[in-house]
Amino acid sequence: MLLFLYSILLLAGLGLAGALVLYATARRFHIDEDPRIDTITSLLPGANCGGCGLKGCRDFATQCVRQGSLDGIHCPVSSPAAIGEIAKVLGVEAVTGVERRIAVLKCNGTCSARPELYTYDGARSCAVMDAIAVGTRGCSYGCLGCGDCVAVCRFGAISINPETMLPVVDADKCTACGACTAECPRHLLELRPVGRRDRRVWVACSNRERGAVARRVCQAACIGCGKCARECPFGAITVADNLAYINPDTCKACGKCVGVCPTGAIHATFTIVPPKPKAETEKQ
Amino acid sequence: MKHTFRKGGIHPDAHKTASRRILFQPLPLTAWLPLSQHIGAPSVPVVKKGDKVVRGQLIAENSSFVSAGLHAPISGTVSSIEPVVMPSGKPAQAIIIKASDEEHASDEAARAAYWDTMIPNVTDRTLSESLTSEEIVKRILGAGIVGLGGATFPSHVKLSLKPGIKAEILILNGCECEPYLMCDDALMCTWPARIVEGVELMMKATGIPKAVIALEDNKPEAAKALRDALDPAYDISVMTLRTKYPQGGEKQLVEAVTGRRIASGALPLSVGAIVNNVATAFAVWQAVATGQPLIERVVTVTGDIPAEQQCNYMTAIGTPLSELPFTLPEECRAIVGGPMMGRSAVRLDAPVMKGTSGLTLLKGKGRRQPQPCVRCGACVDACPMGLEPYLLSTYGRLRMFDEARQADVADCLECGACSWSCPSSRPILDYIRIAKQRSRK
Amino acid sequence: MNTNTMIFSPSPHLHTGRTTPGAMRHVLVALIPSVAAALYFFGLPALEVLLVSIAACVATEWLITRYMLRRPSTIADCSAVLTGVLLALNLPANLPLWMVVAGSVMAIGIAKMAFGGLGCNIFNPALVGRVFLLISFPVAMTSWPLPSAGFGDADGQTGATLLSRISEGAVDPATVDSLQLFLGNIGGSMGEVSALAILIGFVYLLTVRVIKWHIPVAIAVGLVAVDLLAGYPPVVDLLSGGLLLGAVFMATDYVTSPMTSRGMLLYGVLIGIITASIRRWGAYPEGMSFAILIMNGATPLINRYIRPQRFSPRRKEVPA
Repeated sequence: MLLFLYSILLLAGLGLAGALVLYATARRFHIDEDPRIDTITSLLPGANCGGCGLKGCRDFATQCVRQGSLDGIHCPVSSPAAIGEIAKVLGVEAVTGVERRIAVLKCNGTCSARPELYTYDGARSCAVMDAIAVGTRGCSYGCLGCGDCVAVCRFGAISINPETMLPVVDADKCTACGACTAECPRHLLELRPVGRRDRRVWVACSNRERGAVARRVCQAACIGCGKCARECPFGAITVADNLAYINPDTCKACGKCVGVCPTGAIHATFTIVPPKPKAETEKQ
Repeated sequence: MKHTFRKGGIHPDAHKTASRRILFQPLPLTAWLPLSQHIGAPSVPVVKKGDKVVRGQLIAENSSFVSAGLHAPISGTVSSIEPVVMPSGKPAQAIIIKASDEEHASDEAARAAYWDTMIPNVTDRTLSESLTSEEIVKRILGAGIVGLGGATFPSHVKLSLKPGIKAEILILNGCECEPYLMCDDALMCTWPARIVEGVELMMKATGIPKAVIALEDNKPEAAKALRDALDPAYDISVMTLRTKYPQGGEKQLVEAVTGRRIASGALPLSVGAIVNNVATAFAVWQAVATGQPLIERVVTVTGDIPAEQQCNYMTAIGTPLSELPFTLPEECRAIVGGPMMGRSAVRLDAPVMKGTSGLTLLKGKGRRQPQPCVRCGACVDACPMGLEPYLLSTYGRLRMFDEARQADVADCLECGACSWSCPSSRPILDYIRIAKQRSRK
Repeated sequence: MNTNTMIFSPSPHLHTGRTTPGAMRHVLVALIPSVAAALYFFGLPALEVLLVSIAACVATEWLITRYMLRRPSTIADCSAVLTGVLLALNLPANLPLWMVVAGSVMAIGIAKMAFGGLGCNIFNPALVGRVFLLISFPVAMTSWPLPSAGFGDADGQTGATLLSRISEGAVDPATVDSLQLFLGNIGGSMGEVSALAILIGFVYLLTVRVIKWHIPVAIAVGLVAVDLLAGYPPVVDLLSGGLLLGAVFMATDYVTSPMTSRGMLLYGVLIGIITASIRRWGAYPEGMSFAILIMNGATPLINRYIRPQRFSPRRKEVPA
């Protein structure tokens, strides 16, 4: 009986001693933290994607609490509603007018447009492949197809289309965190505004070679002919280094340029009415 | 016990089966001359489209101190200055020179005459002894000489010591530790006296009293030829090192020869050494004593090709690789340089450049399916820099670049000993290279 | 020129030609003398245990990859076969076969595949299997058939091992015949009996450069050091029980041992010290399995703190 008592007392004593140590440590190392940091962290997506340019969601929360506003920092992943909630916690007006953006691929080098010329035998990574050679398809600007962007996307928004071997961005899942645009060794992904009624137009090519050279490696390359720039009624298209670029701020997504491009290098998220005489003009 | 470096290293099969002869590759009718054939700023063209140039004429000059000039390897007309394709398939800005048949014929005659007067091994130092060290460096600068071992660092930069800095030893790298390659070996066997004279000129240019020509013990003929060519008036010795890859690495070589280790991120000069390739010494002699700038170099063509085709060619810079005489094996890997550090070529209609030491043609795919890492430590044992390749590779794959930097990824010399030795055939170096590149930012 | 045939890859473009399955096969070859000795001394039951163990290990791995992980089978890498052989050599020849199967399932299923398969396990699978059996069935695991030379069927006689008799005080270690220990004519588990056979395997592994000398030698050093302090004859300690088998074949397992030579030395010395301590002062007469498993657990820590020496010290960082 005494033995029982002895063991129970001993264990209880040990437990008590341990609890005291824990309590003392917690007191000693306690750091007073603004409770709003926890609140804001819980409102954030928690993906720690780094899209805001900070180290993670908690870092973002700490930063906004420290400066007391959302000035200059923005979480591209959060919905406007969530941003509004955060602003409420901070007691400031929510930043409005930050348009939702998504990533688009500036390459149209499908398997049929530029067949595979060389065989690659190495680590399956675009960064590795780009560091040593032009890629399996001979274009030194285009997509390498190893899926580094797929690997870095934390939202599962990018997948490789097995037919074209090009990445496809799922507009519903993309949060414009920018991980893919930073990862792509050829900078082929660009964040562009979603556009009104989900209408976007962009040049799906990054080849800066002269037209003839570009066409030799890829049938769908932008050859810098400038037809689109002449066609555009809003002056949104510029051609530099044999490559057209559509400025998303001035583009009204009328889609006229898509029809005139001789190589089909301009992509749109909507179907284009073929340019009949006096095609309907998108009213603003 | 012969000297070598102490840490890591591997012993790949040498495959040094190519002949030690140097044949003369005919000059090309069209030469492509990329403006960036060296480390540093690209050179700036001093000719324009339509200009007539003669062989050896300066066509692009240094744009800054760390840069090198470029000379016409053939006489002809500048047909254009535009991007040409490089062996990697990527474009690079280049000067293109086209020769007519008459220009080609006269060039060939002049070239034959030049090498005929050179080949009889008569040592004549009257010219070189009259030169001051500044004059020598000026001629090296004017000849566009870069390190011919592969790093292509402009030689005049290495040989112009800042006032007050004293170097004690000039090390000539004749290790050629890469398997397959024979170009330095061939050069040392063919013109040993010219190399020794080049070394003497470098000693004079830098004021270094002592020079060591270091080569591996698998080249006894070259060692003997060099020893026979030594002049007792100069403190030059030939040192035979125990064969081990990567002996030709600058830090490894300095340790093997002097026993001193260069600190991380420091230059050989920090331990009083300057390292140059033996082929660079030869080019220095050519430039200073004969006035010929760097317009041709020895290129080894080797690999899984018929034995009679495995040879060394004195080739004009700018010659298309495809003009070299070889039959391309089916399903092959063409490597510019040696198989350990050389770079894959996808286009052979690309030029021979100043740093092109060879063309290695290997049959078939070289890699097995990667297996899981079993943590055997073979890569750790092989790494000559004492790094942890398995860890750095994982950091690179998982994009943990800060961790990679803290694990000294910048020390990696990309010798490939880790990937070579991995029994699980993992692409260790592929990812380390990414970690190294991206952690620099 | 036909560009269709060009293959490009990052350097290096050459490879040693060594493979992990190749290393496993070398270890299997190195185990042949020990297996032969086991068959010689214990006869048919030893063969049964061996075959059942191998079959159970391979089958467990195959079933797990096929039906649970749904991944390509990994049995071709020979590691399951090796685990099977090593486990068998750690068992007494007269162990009931169902226990052998249980040990194999534990070794492959829990110690290896549950951690993610080859390369991911923390503990040596064969040892986990053995220790599982040792703790679960202590009687069956510690009564050994006495060896009867000449491939004869074990005559059913069983006895405790030398080490347990010494630890009970029944035998004075100073009187043990070391030569008999060396050749193997002394009771023990299948692979432990012949030190000679194990040493032949050791020499083979060193010759083909599959393992380095560091771990086995360090273990011996650690053990002998403690023995000398404790006043125990080191030769007997070295040759008896599972020490040599463990030192040469189990502690040197790539996956569960440190990666650097210095780490290996520390790991080995600590295994030797722990083994000798358990044998001298612990409750178990045999401590090798526990010592190796403890140090397996410490291996990530050793890898973390014992880094290879860099070629040159880092230059002082200049603040940017």
